[in-house]
Amino acid sequence: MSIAKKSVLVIDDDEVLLGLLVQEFTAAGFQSVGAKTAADAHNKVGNQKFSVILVDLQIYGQSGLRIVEQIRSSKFGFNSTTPIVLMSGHLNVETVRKAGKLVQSVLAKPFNAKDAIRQINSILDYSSTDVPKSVTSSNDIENPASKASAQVSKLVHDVSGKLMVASMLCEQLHEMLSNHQNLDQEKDLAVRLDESLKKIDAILKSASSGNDTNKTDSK
Amino acid sequence: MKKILVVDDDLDLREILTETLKRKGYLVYSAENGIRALKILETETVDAILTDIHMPEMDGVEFLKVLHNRMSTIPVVLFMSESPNLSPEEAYDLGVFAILKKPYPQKLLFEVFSRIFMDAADMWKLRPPRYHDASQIELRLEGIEESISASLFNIGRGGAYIQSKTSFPKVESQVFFNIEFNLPKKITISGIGIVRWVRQESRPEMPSGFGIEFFFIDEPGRSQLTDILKNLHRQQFIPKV
Repeated sequence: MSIAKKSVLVIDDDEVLLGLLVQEFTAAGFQSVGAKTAADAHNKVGNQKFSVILVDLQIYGQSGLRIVEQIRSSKFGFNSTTPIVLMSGHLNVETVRKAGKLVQSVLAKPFNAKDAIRQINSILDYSSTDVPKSVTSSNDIENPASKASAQVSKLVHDVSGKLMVASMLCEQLHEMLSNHQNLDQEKDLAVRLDESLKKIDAILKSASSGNDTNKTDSK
Repeated sequence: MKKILVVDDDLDLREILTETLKRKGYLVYSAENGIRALKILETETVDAILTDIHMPEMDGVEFLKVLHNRMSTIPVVLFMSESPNLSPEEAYDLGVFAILKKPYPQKLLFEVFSRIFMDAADMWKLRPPRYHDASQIELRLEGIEESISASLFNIGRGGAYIQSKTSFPKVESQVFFNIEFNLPKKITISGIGIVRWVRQESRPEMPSGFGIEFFFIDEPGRSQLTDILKNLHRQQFIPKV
């Protein structure tokens, strides 16, 4: 079995929809498992770690949220942090609010299977817990070019932050001068503006001396 | 009183943003990174978040993803000083309301917040900022659901993704749009928007296209669209596909 293959558990008592979703997820490259009852769901959740779980709001009269709570509890430790998507044809604000802390997303029925798969893929993209190590490790390799680019990026970030401070101080000072407001406040703003400009100067000097050192080293 | 959470690792900037927003009448909380911000959110409810992207410990991207996974619908304004590992299309898809590039005029910041805190009834009644470039988009589609599943069109809380293969408007240009759906009943969404991102190359599961933010929509399309959005429970501000 491929470690990177995404797996999905669909829990729904509507046999037709369950069959359709399992089929569509399989076609989209998922290892898809279906569960029609709460007991079946508990059994499957306890035996395998899934990338994502879809749960209907009502399973033969039992609340899907109750199943979600049980999955989140330590009893089913395999999937206590697995992203869960709640499905329902009767969603209201109260349910969404209650579900908000337990599930990652909500799908309002009826929905198109393709739309659902896209939403699930987007959840998996954003979920850091289920990203296979083999995918992330290739990005972790540090190379000199990315290191240099990270330094430039940090420099731009630091300078633009201070420029933002200076720009806001300038605007406020300008406003104050045109309204002839409190002289002490004007002085205070002017001092802070001077300080922020000095900080920009210091950041740039330190960056340029760092670059010079690098140049010397390379010679 | 509206509450804003300011998240930035630059102490000077955090201070001036806090005092400026307080003077405007907002209640302001501040944090130096995503972890501290999440701690604040455990005990406080806020109406909007203003966050930087480069921060130690938990940066803006991670912070946004955590908010997204928690199904947060708190509007987020994002500082992006230059292109990091988050593209505008991904940011808007994660629910970002506005992207500001530092340094920007503080007037723009106040404008963004007044837009965030606008009543739902006043949404999409705005005169968009004046732009020199303008283009016209005419779309005739079957049904909204069909168009979304065929990746021809998708709708978020603040705008739409429109598939395009050949012509692309300029980023930050103004567009006049006229989008007609014929199923299950005829709906016409006409209005003015701003192009927020353009994707010229198709990627797997993501056809080429562009994302527009809506500023103004004519009635009755505005009310019809508001109703559609209520049922869709969208987290995305502008979907990436």
